[in-house]
Amino acid sequence: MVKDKATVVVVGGGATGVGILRDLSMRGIDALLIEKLDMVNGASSRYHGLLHSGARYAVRDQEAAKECIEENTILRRIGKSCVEAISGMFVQVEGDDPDFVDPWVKGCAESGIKTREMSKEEALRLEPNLSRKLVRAFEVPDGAIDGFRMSWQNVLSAARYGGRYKTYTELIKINVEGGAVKSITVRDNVTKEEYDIECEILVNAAGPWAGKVAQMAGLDCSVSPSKGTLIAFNQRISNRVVNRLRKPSNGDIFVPHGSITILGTSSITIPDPEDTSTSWDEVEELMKTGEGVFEHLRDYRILRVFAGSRPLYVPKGADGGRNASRGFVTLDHEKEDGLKGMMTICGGKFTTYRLMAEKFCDVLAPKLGNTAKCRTAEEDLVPAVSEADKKAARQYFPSYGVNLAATRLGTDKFPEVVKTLKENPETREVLCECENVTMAEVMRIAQEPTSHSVADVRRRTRLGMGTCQGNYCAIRSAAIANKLFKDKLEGCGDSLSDMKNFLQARWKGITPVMAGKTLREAEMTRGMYEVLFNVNGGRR
Amino acid sequence: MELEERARDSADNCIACTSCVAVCPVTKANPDYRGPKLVGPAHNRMHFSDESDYEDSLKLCSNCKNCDITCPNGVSVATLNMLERAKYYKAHPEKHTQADQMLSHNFQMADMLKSIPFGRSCANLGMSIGEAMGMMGAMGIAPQRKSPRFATKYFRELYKEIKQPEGLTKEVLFFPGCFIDVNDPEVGVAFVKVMNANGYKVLMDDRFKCCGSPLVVGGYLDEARSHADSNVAVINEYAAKNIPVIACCTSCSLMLKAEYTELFAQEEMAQAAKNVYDAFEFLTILADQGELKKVQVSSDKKFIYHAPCHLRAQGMGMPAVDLLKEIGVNIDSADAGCCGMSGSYGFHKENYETSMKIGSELFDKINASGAHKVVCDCGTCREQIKHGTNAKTTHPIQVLAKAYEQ
Amino acid sequence: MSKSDVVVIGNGFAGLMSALVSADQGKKVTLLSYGAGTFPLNSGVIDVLGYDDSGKAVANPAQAVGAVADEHPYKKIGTQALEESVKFFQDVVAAEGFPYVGSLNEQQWLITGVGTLKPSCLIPESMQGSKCFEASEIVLVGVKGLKDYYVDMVAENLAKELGNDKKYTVVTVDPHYKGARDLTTKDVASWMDTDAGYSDFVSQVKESAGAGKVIVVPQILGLKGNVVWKKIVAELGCPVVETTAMPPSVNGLRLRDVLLSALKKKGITVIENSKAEEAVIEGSKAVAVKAGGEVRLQTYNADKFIVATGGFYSGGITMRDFGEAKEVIFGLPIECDCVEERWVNKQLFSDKKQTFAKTGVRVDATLRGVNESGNVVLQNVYVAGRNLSGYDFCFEHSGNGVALASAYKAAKA
Repeated sequence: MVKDKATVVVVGGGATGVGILRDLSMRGIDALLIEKLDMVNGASSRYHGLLHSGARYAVRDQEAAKECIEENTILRRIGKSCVEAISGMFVQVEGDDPDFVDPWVKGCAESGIKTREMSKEEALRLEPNLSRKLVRAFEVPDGAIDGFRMSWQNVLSAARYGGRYKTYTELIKINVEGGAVKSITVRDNVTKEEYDIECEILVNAAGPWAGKVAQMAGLDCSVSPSKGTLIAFNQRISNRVVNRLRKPSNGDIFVPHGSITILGTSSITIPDPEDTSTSWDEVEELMKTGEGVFEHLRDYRILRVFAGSRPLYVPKGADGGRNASRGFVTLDHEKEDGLKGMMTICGGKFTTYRLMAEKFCDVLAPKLGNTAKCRTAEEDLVPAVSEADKKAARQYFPSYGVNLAATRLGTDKFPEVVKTLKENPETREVLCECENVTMAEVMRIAQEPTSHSVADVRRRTRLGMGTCQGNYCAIRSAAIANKLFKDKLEGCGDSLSDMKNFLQARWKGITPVMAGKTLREAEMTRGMYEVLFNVNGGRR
Repeated sequence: MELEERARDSADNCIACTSCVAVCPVTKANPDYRGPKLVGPAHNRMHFSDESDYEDSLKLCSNCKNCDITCPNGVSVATLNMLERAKYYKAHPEKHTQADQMLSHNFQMADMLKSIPFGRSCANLGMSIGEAMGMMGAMGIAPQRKSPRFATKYFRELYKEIKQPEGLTKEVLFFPGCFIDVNDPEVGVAFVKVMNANGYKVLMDDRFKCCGSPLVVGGYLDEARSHADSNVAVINEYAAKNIPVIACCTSCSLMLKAEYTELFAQEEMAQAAKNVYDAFEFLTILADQGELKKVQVSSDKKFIYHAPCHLRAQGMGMPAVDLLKEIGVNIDSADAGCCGMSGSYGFHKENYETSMKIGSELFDKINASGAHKVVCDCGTCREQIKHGTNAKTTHPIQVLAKAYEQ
Repeated sequence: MSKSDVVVIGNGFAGLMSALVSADQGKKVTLLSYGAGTFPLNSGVIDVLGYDDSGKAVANPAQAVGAVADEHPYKKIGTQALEESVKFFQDVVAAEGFPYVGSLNEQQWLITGVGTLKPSCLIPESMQGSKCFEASEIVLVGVKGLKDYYVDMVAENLAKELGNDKKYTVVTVDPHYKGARDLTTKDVASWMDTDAGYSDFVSQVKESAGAGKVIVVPQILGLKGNVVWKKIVAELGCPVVETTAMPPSVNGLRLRDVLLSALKKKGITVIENSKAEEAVIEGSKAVAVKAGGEVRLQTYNADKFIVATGGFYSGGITMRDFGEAKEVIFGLPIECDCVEERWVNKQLFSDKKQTFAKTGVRVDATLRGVNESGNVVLQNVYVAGRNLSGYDFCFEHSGNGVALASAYKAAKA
């Protein structure tokens, strides 16, 4: 049954898909994005959150390096609410190849990336946790970017131009008639309902799943999912991005990210993009490399481990892995395979998501007779909450969360949350005390049509992503949010299973690092939920 | 430097277990305080955040250290609170009140008065008049309290008049601390007597400054650092000559032994700490080596002991009680938690109610004990006990000195 | 420092009970305290054995304890010591005016802070959830603004456990709280300790009380023993039941206060904030532990040592890197099956025990650490509580039971 239609349907709610949705919407093209789970649950949130300066690619791939620095500059301008405008460092430690430095400095200069060498003393003063085996240090304009927030802000920006989105909506069939895509069949993963959406052009932006989507149309598109494992530490180990100054390798990037630090990344080619498991060996490899940069690394508390799949496009005959290109391809299946109304975008990297969308839409738009120019670099993703509004909000906030909440919520929802806090003091309860998320904010996000579980709320609020890894906010958010989900939609899980699922998702990231200080936390989690709350129920 | 010694890094150990909140006396007494874990440790993770976002209740921590005592993970919770407070005042110096200024800089006032003829008498008179006229409240100081009076002669002056026996070969350096120096010099005199009786000559060094504890609590961290640097230099100088440094005030000794390193993470501070002893800690060591002068008390006068939180935080039990019991003093610990004063905390007008609420359990126990005197190592705890009860107070070193006199 | 007969290391439930039993034997006891054990978290209930190895609810703990696997601490402790320890505990708390109900022959049922049921063995009078079984109406009391107790959620889950043939009524009490921070159960309990707070609460609940009903409240009935509970039950004329709670757990603190009071009466020396760091060993005996303290360690000599420093949570057992688990003071032998395939169950709330949770000191029936050939390594060092290997207290609900029984046995040895 046809239930919906759109000129363009974009499949995939990662950085690529949301970039295209925004670009198309700003060009005035009617577009609908579908995502099988919640927005940004794939590689766009499962990465280290680095806004590349391009310096990492300066030796091997200057074209990528140039793209990075240009996009880095644009994102710092348009994405103030999702970019942490910090800087970065490249550090060489004893044992690293000294001959790598000169070509790297030269490569950066040629790519337009500013570097500044600093003395060892300055480097250690700026970043006191750095290894005493430091040899040389350079400053570069790396930054940090929040994948969840960036993606949502693209979606919300698109929505202002008429762009639409549906989460928990999974593509299950591509309906082709007369050599052209006519419609798609989707399944609502919450209600299990299946229905058709008509479209003129189907955009396959499914990242590591792009090969599977192509298959539904009988096409062969070779994507090699490459798993990257990352470790999240409990605190900011440094205030700058810290890269190892050597040939790019596993485990040599540290990105401070809000209150935490992310160390990445490994690179393992895997058959199934759903595989986000992590072995002890992978963790050990990252730690071993990482402690070259921060010598006390093993004493810092690990919050969790997570993994994502990079969508590396493999031209026929090439191999995948770290040597595969980080560049992207646009496949017009009309040209390549004779199938009208379907295009695939594949590969690329987070930092250049906007540019990828621009280039892709430059091909797509003319097919629809649209000649509008790309405007995505000209306008902020979301208007920033004004200082005056923040100042006014401070008297109602129970704690020091105003700036954080303002960047999370943006101009549309921030005033609503402040109003709730003002009018209903009970909602000032801080549900997540690690990341300072109030009850009012959780309630507001829970009411969003895209929120069906506490986990959905988590991705938009950072609830449960701090020190206690959900120990305290699980009960609070399940109790508060679950009621609201039920009001909205029948078929939502009950509060107890929502709470258990939320903690289970946290557990997944904790199990591969069940050693050191993590064991303390785990014993406490179980003591609280298994013993005190007996969540498995009474007379089992 | 070991990671554990750095307060900033110790925050990483906090798993939000809530043990600190469960025992925090301020949390119990004041519903505006969010509790230790949510101030220092939690805020510390947010140091990337905007300076205009701060935890409002960070001003309410009394730095009594009960959180540190209860933390199972070695987090220097109270020190983290102080670091957050310092950061806040650095960004907002205008928020410092007159009371903050005065209570943190008592040592300046003391020095100034000493240089003026009759300065101290006039100041004491002024305080009496001020208290009578209710002027303290206007300055932000709890009007219900009687401020400690300046002694006519400070300990540093009295010291010069004491004739220590000739021929003492062993030496210790005394760190009197502000309260003993300017408000309660008799404690210092008793200390000299006790040490002399045990064969030690007591030295003084005029270069010692206030330990800095009131500065830290007031949010004047840079000033505290300069005090720390100069005190540490003096301590290390004596360490090189094998002369230990001894304090009778448990807040001073905690500062010198632990807090300098926690706050500022300097190797020389950790070094200096090894040469600092609390008086009864030192005497216990002498006793263990069989070198303490033997004495037996015959009086059965009953004493009740209040253990200052800053002694309990030092993790060595109650050496004064053990030692006094050993020589036959009838003394028992009140075991009633914090007295609520916590240095200058209870002197602030806005903390007065909290302070007295915290102290109520102790006051009740003292009142019910029928004890002759309350024994306590900390000067401001003694002020609080005098204020909250009608009991007489004394420092344990004075009890010991008296025992030696018999 | 004068020598003690016994030095107990750790002030969790196992540590305090070890000290009390030792003192009861006429020993001079010093207790080195660090942290506060799990009292702020554990709701102060004594689970002995809630579930067997297959996850089946245990009806008779005494019987089930007899059937545990060889590796389990109960096997080594034996049922006799368990029985004696239960009696000892009940005598101690009763003497302090805070009696616990229950026996080894049946389970007590608690209502948890999320509304599920939980089996336990010895519980304070204020937490007897079984009172709900026969009631026709359950009145669930919420407190306005109270964090970590969400009365609707409790009602939802309790109805699932007890069935819909009962009536469930929700009453929300307003404590007229003015503080700037979120309200905890401990705050409400303090309020209930005041005369004004108590009468205010009663006046808001009284109408909903009555015969045939049970009032379920969060853990808020005062900070001191059972004083408020006794008063309110008499006044409302129907059972009043407290749930388990998120930390800070009021009943955990009540139990701690009561035990500390008993310790003081026994003349036990407690050294606060004193983390034991190392042991002095002579031959096959320990002669002292060194603990501290800022700057310098103090030496505590004794004839006998009881290690009750807890597991991973409390830091008695650590494992910085995989496979390198340690008992941190005496270096006692550790049982640790650290193999990637089975170390952690992929499910948090699993249907089997977590291997990592069973990590602990390998002991014999005397509760002394033994090497792989079964020989005692230190003749006078005994182990109690979560330091022990071979059980997953979360899965079985056996934490404080093992702590109590092992403390008793270690102290009697």
